[in-house]
Amino acid sequence: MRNQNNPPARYGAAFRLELRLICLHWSYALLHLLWALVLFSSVVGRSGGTAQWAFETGLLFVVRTLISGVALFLAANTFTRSSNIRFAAIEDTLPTGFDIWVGRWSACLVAVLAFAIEPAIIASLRGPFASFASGIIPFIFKLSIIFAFATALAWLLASLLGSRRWLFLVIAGVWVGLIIIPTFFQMSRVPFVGIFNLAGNGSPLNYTEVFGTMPQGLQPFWFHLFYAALLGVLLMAVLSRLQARRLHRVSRQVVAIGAAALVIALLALGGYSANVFTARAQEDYARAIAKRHETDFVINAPTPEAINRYDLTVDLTNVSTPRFTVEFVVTNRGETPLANPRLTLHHDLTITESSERYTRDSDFVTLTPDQPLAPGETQTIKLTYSGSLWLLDLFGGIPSANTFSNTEGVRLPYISCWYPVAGWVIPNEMYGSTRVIGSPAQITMKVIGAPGMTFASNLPATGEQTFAAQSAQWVSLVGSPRMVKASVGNAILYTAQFDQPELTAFVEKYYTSALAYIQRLIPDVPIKGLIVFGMERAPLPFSNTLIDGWMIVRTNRQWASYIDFGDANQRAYFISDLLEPLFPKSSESAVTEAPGGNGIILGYGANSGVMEGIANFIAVYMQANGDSASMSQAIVGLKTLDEARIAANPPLANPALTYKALTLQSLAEIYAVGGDAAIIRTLRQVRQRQPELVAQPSEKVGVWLREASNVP
Amino acid sequence: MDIQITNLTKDYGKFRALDAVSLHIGSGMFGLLGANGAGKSTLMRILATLQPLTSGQVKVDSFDVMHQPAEVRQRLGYMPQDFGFFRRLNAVEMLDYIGTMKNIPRAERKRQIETVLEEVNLTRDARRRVGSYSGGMKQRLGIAQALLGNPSLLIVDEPTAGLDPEERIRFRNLLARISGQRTVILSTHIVADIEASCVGVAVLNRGRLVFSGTPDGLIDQARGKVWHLEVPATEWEHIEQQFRVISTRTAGKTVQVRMLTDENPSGQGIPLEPGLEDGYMAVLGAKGADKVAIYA
Repeated sequence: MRNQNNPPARYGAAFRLELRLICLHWSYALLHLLWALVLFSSVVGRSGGTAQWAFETGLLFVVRTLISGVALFLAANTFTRSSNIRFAAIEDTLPTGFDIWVGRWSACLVAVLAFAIEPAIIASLRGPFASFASGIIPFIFKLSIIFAFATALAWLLASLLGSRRWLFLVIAGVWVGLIIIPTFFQMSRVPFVGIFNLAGNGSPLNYTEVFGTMPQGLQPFWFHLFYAALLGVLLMAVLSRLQARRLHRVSRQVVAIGAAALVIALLALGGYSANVFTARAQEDYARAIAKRHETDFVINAPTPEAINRYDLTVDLTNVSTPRFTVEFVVTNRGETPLANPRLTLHHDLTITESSERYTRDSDFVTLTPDQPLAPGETQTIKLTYSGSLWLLDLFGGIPSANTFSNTEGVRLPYISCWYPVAGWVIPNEMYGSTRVIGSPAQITMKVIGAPGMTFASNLPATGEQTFAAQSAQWVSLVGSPRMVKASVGNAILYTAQFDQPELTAFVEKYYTSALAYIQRLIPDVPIKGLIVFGMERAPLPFSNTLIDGWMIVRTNRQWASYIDFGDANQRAYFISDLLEPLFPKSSESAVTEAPGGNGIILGYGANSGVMEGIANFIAVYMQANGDSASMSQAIVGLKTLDEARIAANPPLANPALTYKALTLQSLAEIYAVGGDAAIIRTLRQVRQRQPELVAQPSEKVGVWLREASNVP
Repeated sequence: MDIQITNLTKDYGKFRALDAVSLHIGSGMFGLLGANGAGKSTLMRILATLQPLTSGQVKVDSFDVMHQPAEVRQRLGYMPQDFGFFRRLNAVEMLDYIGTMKNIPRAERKRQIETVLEEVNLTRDARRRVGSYSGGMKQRLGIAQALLGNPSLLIVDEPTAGLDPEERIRFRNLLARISGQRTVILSTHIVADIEASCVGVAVLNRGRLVFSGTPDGLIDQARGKVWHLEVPATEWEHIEQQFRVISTRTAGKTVQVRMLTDENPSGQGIPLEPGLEDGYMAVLGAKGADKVAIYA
């Protein structure tokens, strides 16, 4: 009697049996236990991202790295199980289709995906729930593709090599190869190397809660498409081997589907490479233009032209192609007439109207007025321009957009020269040029359109979408539907919606409270408050700045929870953030070379040491609420802590530590004698005569400070 | 059930495992006899759709094993020479799994599992993990799984190899009992396995079919050629070199020899009624051909 063919029943039976054989084995439980231990000991409480952030960055990377190895081993074991127990000969004569193989493979995939439970628990502990809910599905989806690929790869290897003992050695080698080898070559010029890193998500660790994964562009798409297509290739290869074994022939459909999947994989590889290539082309293009003008172009040299007023209108009615109208005043600050004032405007922005004649070579604009600008003379110019901006950074060989404007967000950092900058500079060079930061100018900015987005700028806000400063040297504009603006004491916090609660508490505790003490001890600098950018890669300069009395500070949620704030030494870290714009020289000469100039860096030098000393003094002052005796005690504690750190890690013993310790000690002694007034006097002198102070040998720092304090 | 094998050849690289084998197998139990390496397992694996053939044709009923393996598998029960089961499953779970794979509906499956377990006398141990089974129990479970789905063709490859004599006899009886109306192909190198209940027999020698017919036909191959001779132990070596000795028995200072020869050896031989093993030895041909194991 012939029974009716029932593939779903066979699939179900194979699936259930395989799942049982995998999951009810002691080794599987042990793996989960080890995995939980590894994750909980290394990840919990170490980083402050929300659930979604964890799903999109660190956790994703860790889970892919380690569990792809588990996937390879489990899958190889699943595929060879029948042969290993000598059941294959019976099994192959059963009237089954490929349903049982699909059942086994999917059971293996489910068993592997169960290793997402522990990270999901970790992410859920971070919360909030909305962040967890929006992150979990893409997380599982991304893992599924990679794990499916890994299991299929293991199956193909097992089908080629058979159930030999050294199969697992080969599998181990493949895993190491997939995880490690591409990392070595990621920085190379080969544009597609990054895609072979199975663990990588095809992108740097972006702060996805403000902009989503949009800055990564199509990179994640190409990455996942590549592995999904390769999965197809592998499955068809395995199927063809099973067909040859079971049916003694390979069907054309399998070959055709495999070939189509291979073509798609190659297309994805091409798309991925094109993205990397585009990023490199952007870099190379900017440098090539600069080189073409190298006779005129001296990086960071002062320029005769300066812009001292901007009226910017950013029209985002069509957010993908913003339209800019800028009225600005160019001044000749040189001593000779200036025939052709030079400007830089990113070449992707097309000038449609200009009140003045100009010539343009890519980013470099040369004004050609009828009359040269006499020294000190000014000229008002109006430009209208528009264009789609999509400028990329390469991070570890993987591109990520730093400048964009679309419905998911707007990010116009000052470095991309999205507004005319005086002189010629290389746009979008984070490290190459600081001349994008121009002379102080009066700037107003009005943003039109893009309803639903919250906008932030380094310019203080004067309305929902208007910003203005009397004196600012650069302008950045950030907008996102996921961003929120919150008032925290005298701070304005711009951050991701999900990060707001934690960062609000953080800013309150470590910035606004510290600011009150800074205002008390450095009263001659009028500080209105803080503008805090709570984002990972806020489009701000590396040093914090002061604009119209607003201190522009960047931070992020990770900082908030990576650091144990019980230690005044660490609390001082955040205070030094706030001191940075008050002691502008503090970032100069930050490192000291070994004598003889052989390039060996000894450590941070006098400048940073003095700044750390001041920050530590304020931290101790805060902690002891100005009580001199408690402060002395705290200082002894800090000193002991530093000594212990140096003993544990001798290279930490650098000149900065000596300067720091002496500055802290001296300020405490000055305070003990002269109180707040003496400290105010001293810090005023430090600000005014900072170069003189840091030029002192360390043993003279105390003398210098006491003299500056005017206390006996 | 009708199995037609025509000019079947199977090569493994340069080695020819089966050489133009043509054979017809009808209903009932059919024995495939041959020494180790004769090609029995290769032929069984081809019949069981596990291996492609190099040339020729094998049809099970009207289905070609090469081109319609799925149809053949629907009708097939197979017990390989060397097999195992998922050790952590018990017999019922294992049979339920295989029954599902054989597309047996759930209710029917339950009934059949009980029946086959009863048939192979494993009912009492049905809930024990298969990993704890003895060799004989495993063999019986092997035949039980092959019986599931009531296949019209049952292929058992060397089922008694490795079993102790008691288990072997029990197993042989079991096979005889289940052969019924179906075709059972039994491959073995033990002649006694065939003797009990086979209606047809074929002998393979080094990939070639050297005999095909009934067991009586195979016995007839040795008729008039089997002799009993009693010789002093000192002459044994000489006798062994001169004749094809089937078996010997030492009795004091003499050796009783059962031998295969066309003429009365030394004029002192006593003619014997041939058995199946004599026929088998006779079709193997020249002296020194592969020996077959002969058990009581």
